[in-house]
Amino acid sequence: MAEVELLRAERIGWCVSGSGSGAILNECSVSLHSGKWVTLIGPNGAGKSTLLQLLAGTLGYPRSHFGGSLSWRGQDWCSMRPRERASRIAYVSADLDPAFPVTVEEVLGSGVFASGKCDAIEPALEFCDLASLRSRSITNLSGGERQRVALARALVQGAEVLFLDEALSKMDLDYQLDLGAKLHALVSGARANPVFRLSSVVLVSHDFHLSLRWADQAWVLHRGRMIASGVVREALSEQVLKIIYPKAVPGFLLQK
Amino acid sequence: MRAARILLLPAITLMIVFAASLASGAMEWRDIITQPSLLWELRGARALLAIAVGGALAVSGALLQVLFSNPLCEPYTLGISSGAALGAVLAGSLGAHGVIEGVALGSLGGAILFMLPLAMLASRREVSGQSLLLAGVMLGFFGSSLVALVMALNASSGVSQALVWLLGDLSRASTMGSLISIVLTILATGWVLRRHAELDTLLLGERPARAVGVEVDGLRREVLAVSSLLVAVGVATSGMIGFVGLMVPHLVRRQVGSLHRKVLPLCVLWGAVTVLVSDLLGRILFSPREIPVGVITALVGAPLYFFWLKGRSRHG
Repeated sequence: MAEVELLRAERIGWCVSGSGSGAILNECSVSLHSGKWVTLIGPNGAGKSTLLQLLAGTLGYPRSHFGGSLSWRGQDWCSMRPRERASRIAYVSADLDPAFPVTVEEVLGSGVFASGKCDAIEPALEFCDLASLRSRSITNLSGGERQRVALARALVQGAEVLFLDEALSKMDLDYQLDLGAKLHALVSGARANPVFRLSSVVLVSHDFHLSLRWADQAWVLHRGRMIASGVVREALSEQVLKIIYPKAVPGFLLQK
Repeated sequence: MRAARILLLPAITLMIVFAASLASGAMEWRDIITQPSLLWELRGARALLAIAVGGALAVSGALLQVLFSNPLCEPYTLGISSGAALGAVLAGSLGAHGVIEGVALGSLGGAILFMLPLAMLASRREVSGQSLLLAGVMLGFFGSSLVALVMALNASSGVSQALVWLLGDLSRASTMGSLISIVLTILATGWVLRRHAELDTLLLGERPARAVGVEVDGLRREVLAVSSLLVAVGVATSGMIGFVGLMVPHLVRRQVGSLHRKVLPLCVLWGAVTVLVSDLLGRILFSPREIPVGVITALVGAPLYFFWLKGRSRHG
């Protein structure tokens, strides 16, 4: 399958107040291609979640906060309807903590809002090994189990791109590696799946092993700016690592 | 098919309670048979109003709870009811005490006036559900203080009358008012039912709802407007009847889960049953004296709710 540019962001920015001091993101440009697994790296508060939500469009694009331009396969991304965006990019956050008892099946059902198709629910339950929990309320599930539910819901959305914002962080080692590998097989095209047409993943993880395990590319974010991006080895140079993790680099990271 | 079966039990219960409500009271059976229109004047309109108000309060409670992702929300936590109370007391102090419609209109105006700042806040995207809820609670305190102020400055009989009325009182029902309230309740519920799938995504919280493409801001404005209308229907026709909007949605969710296409219709029916039963109790418990329905729902509802919370915390 030929590699296609899915999403392209040019000099996008986000600020909370009108003044420049409230800028969370500054002139970030990225390009996301099909068949690629991207790891998004940066210290706490660097703007990773904001960047992902901005790319996915879940914050909307109000003029007062947003600047820059985005396109999806050449089309204007910002003018699409939220639902159309959600059927292309699924954003998964770290926590799913509803105030009401909702069953696992019902959570997955809410993913249908984006895709309009129910036929992905069963495969998604199976993919994330949730079949035995299907009628349990997620208020009674553990953090890792909830993350599997959130991931399954994102698969139901029928998106081509998954943004996993710390979305594997509470799973046990087995699930992290197994689900990650299964997603990677979908992205790389090693295992074609008739239901999930996943073609790219962007993963945020503070577990360095996890974040580098399947990555083809790295985006490095520091204080709201994209300080490096590209092939992992080149983007994560010693110099870049020293900027983002000044204390950890000498003792820990460089040995790996 | 299954939906019909779920609705069957509350519908039958409602009919039985409605019949009981028409049949019980101080009127002689002989008079009932000879003067059915008098029976309707005395009890029918009132029972219809109880149905409308109960349905309206339960639905608006269910909506507000999911809107603010807070199971402790009810129509009166948002301060809209304080606005309604203020409007009623002001109308009373201005001499509208003889004309109950004056008080009702006043409370409707107050409800709308207090809803406006909330709606304005809700349309700003950086305002979260939690802040909106806090603003509503503040607004509620502000409104209650103004009510106290009006009362301190003006001791006319209109004010005290308006206050009694605000305790939750169905005794001034009119056939026309009851019918309008029922129609409004059903229309408003049907209107939000169109968006049941979006409301379901909101059960998971604001961010997960946005992640599947729900336009949360627009939904929030629409639901806030509808629930304010429902609260206004309740307050304008019968004052403040507490706990219905809190209890009924919880009990319904316990029975059928949280999906709105089931929850909202059931809230209408069980809310109606609750207020109708409470009003019936209020009329017959200390007959010939009448207890305002709001006193009954709060007296029965508060301990029930306490036990429910206690049980819930034990089961984790």
